[in-house]
Amino acid sequence: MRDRLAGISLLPLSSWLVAFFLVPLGMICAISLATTDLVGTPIFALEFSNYSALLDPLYVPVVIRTLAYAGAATALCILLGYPAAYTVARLGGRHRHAIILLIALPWFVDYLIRIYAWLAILGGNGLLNNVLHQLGLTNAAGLSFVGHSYTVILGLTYSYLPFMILTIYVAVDQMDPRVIEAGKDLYGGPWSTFFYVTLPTTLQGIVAGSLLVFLPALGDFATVQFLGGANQTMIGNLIVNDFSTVGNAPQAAAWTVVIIGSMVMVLVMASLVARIRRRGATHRIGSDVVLGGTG
Amino acid sequence: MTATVESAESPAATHVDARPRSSRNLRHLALWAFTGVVGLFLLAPLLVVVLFSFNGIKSVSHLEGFSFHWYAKLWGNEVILRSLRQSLEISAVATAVGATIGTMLAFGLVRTRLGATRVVERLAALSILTPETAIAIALFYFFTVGLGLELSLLTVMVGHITFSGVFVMIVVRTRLLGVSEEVEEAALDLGAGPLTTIRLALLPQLWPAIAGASLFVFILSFDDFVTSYFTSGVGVTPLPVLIYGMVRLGVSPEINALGTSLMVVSILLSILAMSLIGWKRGRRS
Amino acid sequence: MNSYMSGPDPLGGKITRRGLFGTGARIGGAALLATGAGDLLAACGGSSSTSAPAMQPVAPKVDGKVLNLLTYPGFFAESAVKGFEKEYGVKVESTAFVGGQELAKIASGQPFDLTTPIASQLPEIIASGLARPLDHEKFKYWDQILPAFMNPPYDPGAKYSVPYAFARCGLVYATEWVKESELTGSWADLWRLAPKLRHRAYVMNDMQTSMGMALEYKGHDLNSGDAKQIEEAGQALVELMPSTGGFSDPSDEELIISGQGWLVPSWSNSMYFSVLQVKDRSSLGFQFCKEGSLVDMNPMIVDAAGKSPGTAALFIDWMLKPENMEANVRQVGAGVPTKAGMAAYEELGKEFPFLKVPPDIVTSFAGWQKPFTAERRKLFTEQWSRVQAVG
Repeated sequence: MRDRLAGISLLPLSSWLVAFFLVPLGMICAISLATTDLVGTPIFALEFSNYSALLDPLYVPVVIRTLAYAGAATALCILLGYPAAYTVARLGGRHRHAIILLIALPWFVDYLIRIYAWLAILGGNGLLNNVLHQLGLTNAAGLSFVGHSYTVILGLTYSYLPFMILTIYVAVDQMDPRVIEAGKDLYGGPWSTFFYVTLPTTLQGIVAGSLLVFLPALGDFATVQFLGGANQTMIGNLIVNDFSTVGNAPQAAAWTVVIIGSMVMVLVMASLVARIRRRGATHRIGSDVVLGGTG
Repeated sequence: MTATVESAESPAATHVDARPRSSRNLRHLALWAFTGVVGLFLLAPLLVVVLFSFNGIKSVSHLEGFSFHWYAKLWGNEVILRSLRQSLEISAVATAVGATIGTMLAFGLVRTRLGATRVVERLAALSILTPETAIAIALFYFFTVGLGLELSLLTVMVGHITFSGVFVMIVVRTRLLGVSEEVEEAALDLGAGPLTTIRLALLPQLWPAIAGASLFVFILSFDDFVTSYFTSGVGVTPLPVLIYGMVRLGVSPEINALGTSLMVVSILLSILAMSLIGWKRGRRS
Repeated sequence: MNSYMSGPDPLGGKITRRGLFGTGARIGGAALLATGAGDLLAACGGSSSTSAPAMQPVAPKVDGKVLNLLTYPGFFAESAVKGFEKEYGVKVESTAFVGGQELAKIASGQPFDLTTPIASQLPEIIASGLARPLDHEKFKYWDQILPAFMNPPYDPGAKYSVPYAFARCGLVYATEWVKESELTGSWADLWRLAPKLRHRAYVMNDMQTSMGMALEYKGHDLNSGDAKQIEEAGQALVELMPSTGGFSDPSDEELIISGQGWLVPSWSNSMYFSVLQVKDRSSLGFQFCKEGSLVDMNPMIVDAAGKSPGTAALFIDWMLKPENMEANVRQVGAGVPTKAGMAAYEELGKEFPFLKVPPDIVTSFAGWQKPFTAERRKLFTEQWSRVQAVG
């Protein structure tokens, strides 16, 4: 009886995902093979040139850059997010939920308003330049903080850091304090306890958080649009620009299919590795948590 | 890090730490200082938004004087208020439906041993990991070219429910994995029907997770630009889309007043929500 | 102006469109059935039939109490819109025009009543049956329109459109960093000065305008269809990009007023907004280039799929009314080629000299961006893809 109830409760969201996620993706696949008429209407066909066009050597730096930016932002998010999440979860006491809410505060303010605030801080006549100028560190021209790769990475980090903090926070918060106590008895110092006990236990949080940062960062376009400069295009920008250029929709669809395809491949490989590992060891690695656990 | 023993509520608080207190305090101080810097990084742009919302002049890059002018202008701006209302409607529906079907799916995934659950899990994972732009554009073509629908408030809601449901499912599922089946089984043994069992034995334990996830999903939905943009149509301009449009035709400090108002309202709502759920539940289990 | 919203893909003509709907529904349906969730199609299916609108010329009269606009926020003066609502008891609902997908939305049959697309895309919109013809006779203020715009190149006989805001593209510079003496009144200034300005010069993220600029820089016609010339222009942009700060997304005004951009191609109405927002007006300089100023316009059209075409036409007529057009011109900072519109624009030009226009712009369409042919669009797109990759 209860099993049937549980079985039925699987239905709404899974059929929803089929209807409003899987089927639309199928349409994108169809459009990636389409041609267009004069005004850019997709005409369904079998036009593989949309894919071969992606092999243009001009796009190689764009692909590498996208991976590098997303990777750098993920690394920064771990470096900034782990200590912060750990501190709040373990030392935050009764107020830790309130502090976490404060960390989520940026989400309450519209995305564009936030980015504009960064421009007001980092822009040519921005607050940072004003301070530097007042201190006599720069001349009136100021420094251009906008338009560099580090600005884009900072922007990506800023946008996705709350994901990392929240994920790690949950992982640390759910740790049994007795495990740490046992670890301390076993390893002695706080550092070794951290590296041998806390870190491995919360590793799945880090991996899940990394995927939640890395993958959306791969598809991000707005950060570059606002904070980037020349030669900083990411794949997301190519897709959005293609979609808003008459006649290029199939090209954009082809990019989308390639991105999702490589993502699926990475996930499948991660899951295979996890399966092999699991035969030897009992602990589950994080990628499997995202596949099987987180989602 | 022995940091943990500091927590007053931790069962381990009674543990006697042989190490000198000062070195531990120093470590804690360093950790808090670092967290403070991270917090500043996250909140600095928000301070700028607040600051500029009281700007005396029409500029989003120079501060001069102090005024409530932009607030007055904001609250007289029907277009902004209408978008705000639409965004609230979208987020409310997306949260309510997403929370319901997300919780159901979590329950189904944890409490059945069907082979299909692996497939469903993977589908959900893929949906959350696919770039939002891709899904949004796909939905646009699906609704318009595929189904020939009129884009409306409803289509935006559909787009939002997809990610809302999956996010809620993830959070609730994690919580469910920590809830033993014994209580439910006991309730069933005592003759309670399955629905009653869920209502009385399971939901109370899941409630904090569902509420927390709902709050999170509401925020995500309210802040969403990409999906809102591609799935909105006649007479529907969700707030983030309107702001994007406003930016194109000259930024006005009004948007800073709007940002500040949103922040204040959300903080108040969150405090209200959290006090309803009960701060006490925040205690470590 | 505002062709920086480089237009997306309006779907094809009526026949194509219906054919496409069929195909789309079949693909969607097949996929749904294949996954065993066919009932969903019925649940969310709606009607996929689009009845081809009878394209009778539309006369201004109230035939619907709600008017759905798809345009930039604030593109019509509030006083004029409020006056319209009060006069005719109509509610005006505005949807923000933000960039990229708008024309795709119109083309997919979304029932907007009135839109302000880009003039150089109008022929495609008309050919696709997305605009309704207008019954000129019934417009009370039709004679406000300047003679040349009774027969503009983008819409012969002005059958489908009423002219609205036009703007010219030039260079805005920060006078502190770019001296007037360094400028020669040519697009070449952008190429020459960009390397010296160390990533503080920008390029507009709009295919037609930026490619037009590069064509003029190379000494060709901005509307050139010659493959070799277009390739030259693309190459010039590819070479320019690395020394710039990239594309001026999302708003050239923001770059200018924040002091980030020192040499930025910008529309004259954007210049107007920029100058209104800086503390010291003399901190900004404006240069229009001798090669041309890439004029473009956002005319008003009555959408074929709209539910209140008469009300939409009435709204257009109302906007043509002299006092309303004056208010619009002051609000948008763009020229409108009607009698009252040009008078107001010239008045504005006294205070903001960069708004003054050479007369041949509104008499003989000198330097206007022309609509694409399929071949020319393909050549442009090929080159623009290269520019985007280094943007």
